[in-house]
Amino acid sequence: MGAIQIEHYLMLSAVLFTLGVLGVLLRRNAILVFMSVELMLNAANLALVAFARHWGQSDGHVFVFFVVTVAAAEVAVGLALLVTIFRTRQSINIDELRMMEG
Amino acid sequence: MVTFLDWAPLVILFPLLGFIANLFGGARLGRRYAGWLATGAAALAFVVSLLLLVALRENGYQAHLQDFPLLGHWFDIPTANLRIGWQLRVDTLSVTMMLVVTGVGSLIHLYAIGYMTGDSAFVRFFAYLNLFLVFMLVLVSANNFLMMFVGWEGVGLCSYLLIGFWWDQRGGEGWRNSNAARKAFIVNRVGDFGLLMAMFLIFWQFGTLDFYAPTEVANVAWASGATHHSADDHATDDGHAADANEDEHEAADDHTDSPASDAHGESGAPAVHTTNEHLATHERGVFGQAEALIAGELPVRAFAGVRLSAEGLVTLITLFLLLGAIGKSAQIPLFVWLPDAMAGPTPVSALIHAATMVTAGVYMMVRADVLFYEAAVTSFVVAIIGAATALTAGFIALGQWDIKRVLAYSTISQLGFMVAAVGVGAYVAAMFHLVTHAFFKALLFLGSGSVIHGVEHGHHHVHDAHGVHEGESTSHHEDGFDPQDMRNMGGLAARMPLTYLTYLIGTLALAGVFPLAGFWSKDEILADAWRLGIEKAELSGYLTLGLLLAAAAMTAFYMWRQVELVFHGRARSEAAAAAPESAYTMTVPLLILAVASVLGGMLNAPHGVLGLDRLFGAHSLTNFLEATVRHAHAGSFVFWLAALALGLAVLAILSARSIYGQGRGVSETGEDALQANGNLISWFWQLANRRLFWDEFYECVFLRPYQALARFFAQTIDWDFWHNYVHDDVLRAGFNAAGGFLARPVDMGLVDGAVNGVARLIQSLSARLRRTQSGYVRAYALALFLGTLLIVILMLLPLAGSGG
Amino acid sequence: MTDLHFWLFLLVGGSAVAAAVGMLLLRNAVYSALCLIYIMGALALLFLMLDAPFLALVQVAVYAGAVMVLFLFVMMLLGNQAISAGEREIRGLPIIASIAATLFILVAGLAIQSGDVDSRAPPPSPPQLRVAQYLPAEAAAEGVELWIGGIETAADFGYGSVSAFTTLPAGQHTISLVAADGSRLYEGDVTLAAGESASWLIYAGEGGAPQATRITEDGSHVSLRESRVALVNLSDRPLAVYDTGSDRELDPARDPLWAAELAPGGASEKRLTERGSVDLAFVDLATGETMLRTPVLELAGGQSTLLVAAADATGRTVLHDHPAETADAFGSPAAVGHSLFRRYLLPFEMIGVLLLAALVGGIIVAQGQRREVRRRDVRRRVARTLAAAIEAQVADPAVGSAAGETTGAAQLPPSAGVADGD
Repeated sequence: MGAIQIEHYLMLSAVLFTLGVLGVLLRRNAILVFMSVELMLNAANLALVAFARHWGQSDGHVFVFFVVTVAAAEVAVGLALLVTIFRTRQSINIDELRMMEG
Repeated sequence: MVTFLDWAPLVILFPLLGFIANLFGGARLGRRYAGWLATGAAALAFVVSLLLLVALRENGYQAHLQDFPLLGHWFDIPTANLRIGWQLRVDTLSVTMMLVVTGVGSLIHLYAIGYMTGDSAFVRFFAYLNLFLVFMLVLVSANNFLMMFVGWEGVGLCSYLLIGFWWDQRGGEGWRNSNAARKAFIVNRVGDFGLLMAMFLIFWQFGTLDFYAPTEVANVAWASGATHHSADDHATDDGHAADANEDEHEAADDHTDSPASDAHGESGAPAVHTTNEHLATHERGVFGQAEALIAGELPVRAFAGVRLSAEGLVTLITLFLLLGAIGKSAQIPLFVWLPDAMAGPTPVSALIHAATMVTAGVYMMVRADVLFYEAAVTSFVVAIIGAATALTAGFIALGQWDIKRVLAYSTISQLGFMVAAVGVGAYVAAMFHLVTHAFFKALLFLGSGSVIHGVEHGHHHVHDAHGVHEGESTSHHEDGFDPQDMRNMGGLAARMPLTYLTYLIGTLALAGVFPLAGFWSKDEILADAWRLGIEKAELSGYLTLGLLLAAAAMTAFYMWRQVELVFHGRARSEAAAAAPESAYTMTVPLLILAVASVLGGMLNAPHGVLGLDRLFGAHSLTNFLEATVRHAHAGSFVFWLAALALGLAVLAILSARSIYGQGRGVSETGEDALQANGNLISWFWQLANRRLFWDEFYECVFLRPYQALARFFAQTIDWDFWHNYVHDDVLRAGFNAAGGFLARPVDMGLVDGAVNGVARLIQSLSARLRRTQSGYVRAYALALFLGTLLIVILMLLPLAGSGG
Repeated sequence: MTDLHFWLFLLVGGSAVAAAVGMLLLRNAVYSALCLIYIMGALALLFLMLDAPFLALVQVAVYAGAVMVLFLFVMMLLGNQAISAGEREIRGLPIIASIAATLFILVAGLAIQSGDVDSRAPPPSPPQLRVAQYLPAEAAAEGVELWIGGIETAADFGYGSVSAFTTLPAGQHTISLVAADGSRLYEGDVTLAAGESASWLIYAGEGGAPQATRITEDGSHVSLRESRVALVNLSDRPLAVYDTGSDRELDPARDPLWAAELAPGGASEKRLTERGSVDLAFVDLATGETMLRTPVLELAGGQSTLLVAAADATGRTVLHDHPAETADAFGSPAAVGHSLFRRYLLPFEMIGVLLLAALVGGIIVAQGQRREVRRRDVRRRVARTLAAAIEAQVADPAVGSAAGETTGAAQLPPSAGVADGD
């Protein structure tokens, strides 16, 4: 019940991040995996903003800006790839995308 | 001025060429030519020897040293002061020997052509014969001890090769022959040890092995003209007195005009020295320095801290030399090889073991007369050994059945005469007897060969009626017939007249019957022995004389026994009845040698006996040898002693005739006439027949322990211990065990295991690791996450520690 | 406020976590996407709470608005049934993942709790200094050089000039004024600590000797409606400052007093006023005489101004105002923009290139394999024989040439005829 300290935000960020990791590891749907990655990025953004606020520096905001941009670009390309793969394999089960086996 | 003396190397070269030609080209030459080639080589050597004789005569009997062409020095080490060269010494003594060797040698070569026809190894035989001549001539023409030793060993080698010539005979005969060859070689070796020790001592003391330095005079007294035994010199006793004067005159350095010195001084040739004054003591040869040593001018060198007196050193040297002579010349106690050496072909026995090789010891002692003359103790020993040998061998000879064995023991006996002569200081007498003995002993051996040949022929003629197996060893036949056994002979006088005649001459010459050669030479020895006893009152003289007389009687006895058994009476076997006379190649040498045996005595005819000296010249040999032999003296003729000896010989012959004559020699049971009595004489005869058990004694005392020791070393130590245990069990098994250990547990187990294990480990690891490459992205992501977690933890750990 | 904040935080954060869990567990991918959208919205709220309004908007606009839409579009493209349901899991993965995640949270929690965030404060920015000179002397009129720390900072630093803020390393620095003829007009040392921002005013003090006053500047954010002002008295007598308002009469009783007593060489506290024009009166405390009037002094919003009363060459008291920029509002677009275009220009440009590459790449990848279009003459097409037409229909280049030989359409023997173009 005290003032919100930065630790709370960081904890929240950690929890969200972990959930994102779990999503990456546990879900088989490739789209879901992407989304979990997005969640991880968002959690990192939260931590960055929290720190920026804590120290009064807006460098953290800039970093977040970049992260968002890169994430967007990554999602675009990644989903495009996914679509292409789906076209050939008719499946987006990442367990079936095992070309790197062995 | 080139004289025949420069041709001296040819005397060695011709037989050497013959040897090489027969060795390499003999097979192609064929038997016919090989034999004649060898004989030709020997004859050429004889011709060269004659030329050398002529040249020496012209040279005034001065010694000539000739370097061997193409060969320089054998040893030439200036820092060690060691210079030993290949120098030929052409002087009267060596030329004497050369003539005997090559003359008798070529006759025997001729004989051997006939004797060895049909033998499969014909060519090899003549190669070996020529090789023997080479070595023998090296021996007699050497100017230093080492070169003489080369010849010494070389003739020993050839003796070995030739005794064991039929080493490949079947039925154990080959073993018998090779055993005999080995025995000869090894027994000779014992003697050679003595010669080597003498050489070491000589070199130690005198610093050189040369007999004489190039310009050295061997016999100063003779060179300076103090002694000449010319026709007008009534010198029998005076000769000896003159000898005594010589010794005094020598010290006074008396230069008299001698014809020798005159002749050369005028003609512009290099000045002939009559003394050795121009040479410092250390520049002289062995004998020159020895004289100085004896005269006290040369100090004795200490050997290993021991300094002997001059006489002691000389005695030691001469004792060692004597040992060498004992070995080579078959004296007691090293004579046992000579009878066994009869296993070789008869020409070999004739040449080597009668005429030449065995006389090398005598020659060597005569060469070293300077030393022997001064060593009284040694001379005594020499005389006793010689006389004892003469008697012992003579005794054994009368109990032998084998025709060649009788002659072998006879040879030993006669060698004993020569050695005894050296012992009593009669150097010329020894050489004289050497020469005459060569004649008649070679004659006897060749004759026996002819007899054996004939009996063989007869045997084959009677029994086989197919091709005659000529030339093979005749001692063993499948049916046990021994053609050398005198019991199978008899009555051959009629069948082989020429052989009989020449054999008779040889026998009488050997027995010392007047006027044949042996009479004169034997008598000279006896006279000198008597002289030594009478005039110098030495015990050795009397002793020697007695023993030698007994031996002479024995000689006559057993030789006549042999004649009776072989030629007289009736043939005791069919073979003997059918024996033919031998071919002319065999009989011609017999005739020649017979003539030599008759006339040989005139080589050294004593002065004033029957006027023979006017016909043949008195003391020719003595004069001849005097130039070289320092202590040569003219032998005297003691009439009563000669008569005594002759009488003893005649008595012996007559008694032999009575015992063995008319075919009584052998009883029906094959026993000897003397054997049959059953009394003391029979016992003695048995003893003689068993050769005094000498070989058995040696076998017992020396051979058996030695062989046991050798067997022990060979079997137990070498074979059982070293080979089986150390080598096989320890080394090989150990090595194999170690190798096996290294190979199996270590290499295959550890190393391979490690290597393979590593491979297997990697394979299993990789198999396990491969499973991580599942291709599942999620698994990779998990791995990433785990890694990140780990890194985070590691990063935060230090902070956790400090920050709390 | 804290309470509200706290509960708000709890609500928003908790719902975000719940949504994340939902995103994980929901089988339907669209539902998961919706959960993620909710999370993004929650995060935007959190950004707002964290004084990052710009980012909150960006979050909503880009993330929730574009990225998630893209996700949904793709889900639409692929169709729901393309999303497969439970098959055999990778052995042990869920367990290990769970354990690892738990471990991670624990470690993170531990780190956050035990970590001393405050002590990890970022290093303070280096100090900044500006110098102004009010020397009435003739020599100080023109052609004066200003030297700070051995570096010539300004030339032609005449009376009333003020230098720009110079970033200097912390420590002691020597400031000197050099006249045109090379004589030292003033020399003094200033010690600066990290994070400080100061103005160094050089004036003529008692007896004409140059003196300097240090004024600490405050560059923190001032809203655009306001202006921060600091008053400096560089005259030789104590002054009081009144805001006379719009009327021009000075009423010491009623006019707001900006500074009660400004000692010579002293400075007032910084005060925030509305932007606009002000009329200030500088009154000599001793005599009550108005030394200086500023009839229309424009105070711009969002600035920090230094108002300096100094004697000029003639002896009159003149007002100089030296505005200084204030920092942007934290989290404002201005702040982010300023950072982007100043400090992070290069990364910004690179991100631009990255976006371009992603754009192009996305197009190409998404375009997929295009069937090889056989460009042909119409003429040729028409001139084809029947056999060639059949072959073109039947043969499948994707399958390979070998297929043509086996089953399928009737094989006509390769006949002479018009060959296919390619």
